[in-house]
Amino acid sequence: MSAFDRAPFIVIWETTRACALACVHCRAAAIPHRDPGELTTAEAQALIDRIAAFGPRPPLLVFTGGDPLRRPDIVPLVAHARARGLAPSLTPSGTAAVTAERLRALRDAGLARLAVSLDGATAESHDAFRRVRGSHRHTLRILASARALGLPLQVNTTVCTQTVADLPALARQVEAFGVTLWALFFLIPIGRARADQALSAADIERVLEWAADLAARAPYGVKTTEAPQYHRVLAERGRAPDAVGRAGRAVTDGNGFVFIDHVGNICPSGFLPEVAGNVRRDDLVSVYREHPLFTALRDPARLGGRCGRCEYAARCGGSRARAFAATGDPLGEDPGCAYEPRAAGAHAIAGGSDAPPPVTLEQVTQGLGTVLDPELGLSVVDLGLVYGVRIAGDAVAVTMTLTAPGCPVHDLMPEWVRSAVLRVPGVEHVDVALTFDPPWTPDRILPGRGSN
Amino acid sequence: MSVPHPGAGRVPEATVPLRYLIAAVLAFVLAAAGVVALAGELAGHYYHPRLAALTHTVTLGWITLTIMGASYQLVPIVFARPIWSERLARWQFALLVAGMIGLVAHFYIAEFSGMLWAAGVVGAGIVAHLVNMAMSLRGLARWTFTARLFAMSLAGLVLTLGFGVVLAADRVARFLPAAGFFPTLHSHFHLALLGWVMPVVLGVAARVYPMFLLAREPAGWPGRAQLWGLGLGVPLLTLGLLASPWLARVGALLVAAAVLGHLAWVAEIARARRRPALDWGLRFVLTGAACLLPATALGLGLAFDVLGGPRLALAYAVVALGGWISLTIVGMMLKIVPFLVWYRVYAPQVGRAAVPTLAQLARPALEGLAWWLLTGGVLGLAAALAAGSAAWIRAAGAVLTLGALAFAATLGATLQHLRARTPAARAGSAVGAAVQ
Repeated sequence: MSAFDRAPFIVIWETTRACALACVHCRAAAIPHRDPGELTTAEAQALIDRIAAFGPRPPLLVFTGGDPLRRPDIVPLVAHARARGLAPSLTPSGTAAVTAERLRALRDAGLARLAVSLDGATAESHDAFRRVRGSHRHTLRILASARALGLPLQVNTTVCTQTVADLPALARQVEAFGVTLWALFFLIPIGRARADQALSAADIERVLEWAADLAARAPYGVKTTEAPQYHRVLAERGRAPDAVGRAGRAVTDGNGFVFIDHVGNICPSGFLPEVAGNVRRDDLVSVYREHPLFTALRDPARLGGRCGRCEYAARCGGSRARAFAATGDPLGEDPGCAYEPRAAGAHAIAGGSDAPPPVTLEQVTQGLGTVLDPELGLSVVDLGLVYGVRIAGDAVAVTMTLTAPGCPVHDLMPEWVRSAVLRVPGVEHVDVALTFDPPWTPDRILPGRGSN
Repeated sequence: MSVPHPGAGRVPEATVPLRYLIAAVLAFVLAAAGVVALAGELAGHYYHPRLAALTHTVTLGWITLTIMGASYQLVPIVFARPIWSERLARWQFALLVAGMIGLVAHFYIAEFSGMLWAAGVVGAGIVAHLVNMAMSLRGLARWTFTARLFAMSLAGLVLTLGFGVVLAADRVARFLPAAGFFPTLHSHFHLALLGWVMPVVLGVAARVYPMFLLAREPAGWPGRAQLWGLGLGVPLLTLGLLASPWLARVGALLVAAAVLGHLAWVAEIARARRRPALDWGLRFVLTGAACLLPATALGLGLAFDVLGGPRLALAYAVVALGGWISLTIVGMMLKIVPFLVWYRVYAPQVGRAAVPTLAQLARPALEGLAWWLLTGGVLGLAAALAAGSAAWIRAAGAVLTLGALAFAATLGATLQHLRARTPAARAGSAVGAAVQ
């Protein structure tokens, strides 16, 4: 059983379809005004509670849209998610509505990451893609404001025929923005997106090779959406995915990924809008774990075509959304993949001799030892800040404290620890829990480790 | 999954406290140079308009700006409360700097109607700070030792401002009786020193010295001595200075008890520390604390009429303002400013790139030079003032100025990291600047 059978890695909630932009590729075919059928605040809070119920390691939660800032209750909903132990992210549209004050309110409510779309290296190319003049300027302003507020940043870029030439220049800009993660969204022809905008399999392969080169040297992580073969490309190079708090394998439609649309429909992803239930009447956790569509999407043996024969099926699995858009069969072959599987019966190889060695406490402790208190120059281990480490397969849970509850690195430390532990070979999930019970005292410093 | 602590992590933008601290350091250098320029005046009586300009450069420009700027950094850390309004903090800074420049300049040229207007602007800035702090601390769940002293200091600031405005108005309207001016002036000075500055330093020290020195938070009778000593001593001393020498002496003894309690805690923290090596910031802090002993002895001597005269009063002021407070502030700044810079420049890079530790941002040789020059300069200045020698005052002032410049240079070197950010960070700022 995969960890993704119990809980998704990420939940995307389409808070609204209202959006001031009119992007040429929009999956949601966003509309100018809010749909009266959208989830109410109470329903949204109930949804968040159910997402938290996936625990003990609840998934990442992304508030998307449309433009989530079109919902007046978005800040309280972020706070509600944070209070439920979730790490909420938000993907606002690049408009004047995203002010520094609203970003500050979101940060103070507990927003863990802000994801902003940037689809062109110049104002002309971006605005042409978004079909609203000034969107590029607003996007850069949002990035600067969020950065000044200390909000972790993610840049999302749609990869399609219109944007692919801008990718190298965008890569340099993304570095300049100081982002944590650059997410490349490979276009799926649904909503307003047309089939002729999608890249060919050969072009996708070239972009993925380029992305793998970039990831090896970039100071930020690179991830792909609807191009899970990126994990195959990395595996062919003997590399693990970048350790930026991400899953160690592909997260694909229904397999580590679940999408709730603006009226509560539960789908494998926004690009695979097959409805498996509705949060107004169905339990999200049960639908994700038990609905036949979801269980089928998580079973590599059910895949068809080259995906079904591929030795990387368990690691990649292909884009189910692209297969669905091309053939109407979500379990069919991904036409966006150029790879030819080597041999039949490859599943056993993928899940057997390729399995990584077990993660040891010594390895995790060694990783934690690289996280230093900047003032004292001592590691969190030497300071006695780590109260406990639990290892379950590829998942590591760290319980730790800080020298004081108001420690100024309070919001940063969990991410530092997560990044350090994710560098340990074989670790794919890291949860960091902060506690102040019992409070830290200097007596916890390891003997002989006084700072110099 | 990490669970956020209420209020934690909501530190304001680093530029908010940094602007106060940078302005304060400039005032410090200016004040030190002012000692050289005003050596002749300093050899005489302390009540001289130009010495009032010098004193306010120290008390408002250096000490108050530092405390206010540091408050914007420390309140979220020490009390786990977000700052109510960063925008108000920026307006407050503009008001204070404009008001202080006007106040000092008008004192210097002895033009008191302009000085009164400038005092009003300073007052507006102080009121903005009081509002911001009060709103930030509103609903504080636990009134700890530090929180009580912090609140006490805000009350002391109100009274200091009130007495200052009365004195400023009197320079224009002349309504105070002749015999009442100096008692009011002495009360104003001691409210600033003991009512505003001392509670906040003692309160913050109890929380942050253990953090820096890796020691347990102190407890016991010294805490009660500090709370009661200042809570009763400062009002009694103020009333005593205005009305009754005996009341002033009781107040002075109570304040001395508070100082004793503070020093007992500092000694305990230093003794039990798990951080054997002391960096220069911590040496400054401990040296500042040591200066409390001669300052208290001089203060008690003046209160009990064992000592007297304007020269010893000036020496007392220098040991207190230049020794205890200034050396403590220098030490704290050597901790706070590198952290603010590091937090802004390097914290986002942790885990993604090699980043320096705070110690690697420091310039130990320069900091050591500053320690020798500032400590020697302050002690030398106190001795020269007691002796009334303009030449020695000038010489001590020159040493002090060099020390202030060395200190400013260490901070300047640290601040350079704001420019020497990674190419990514630099370009990011450029983008930010281009679109704003």
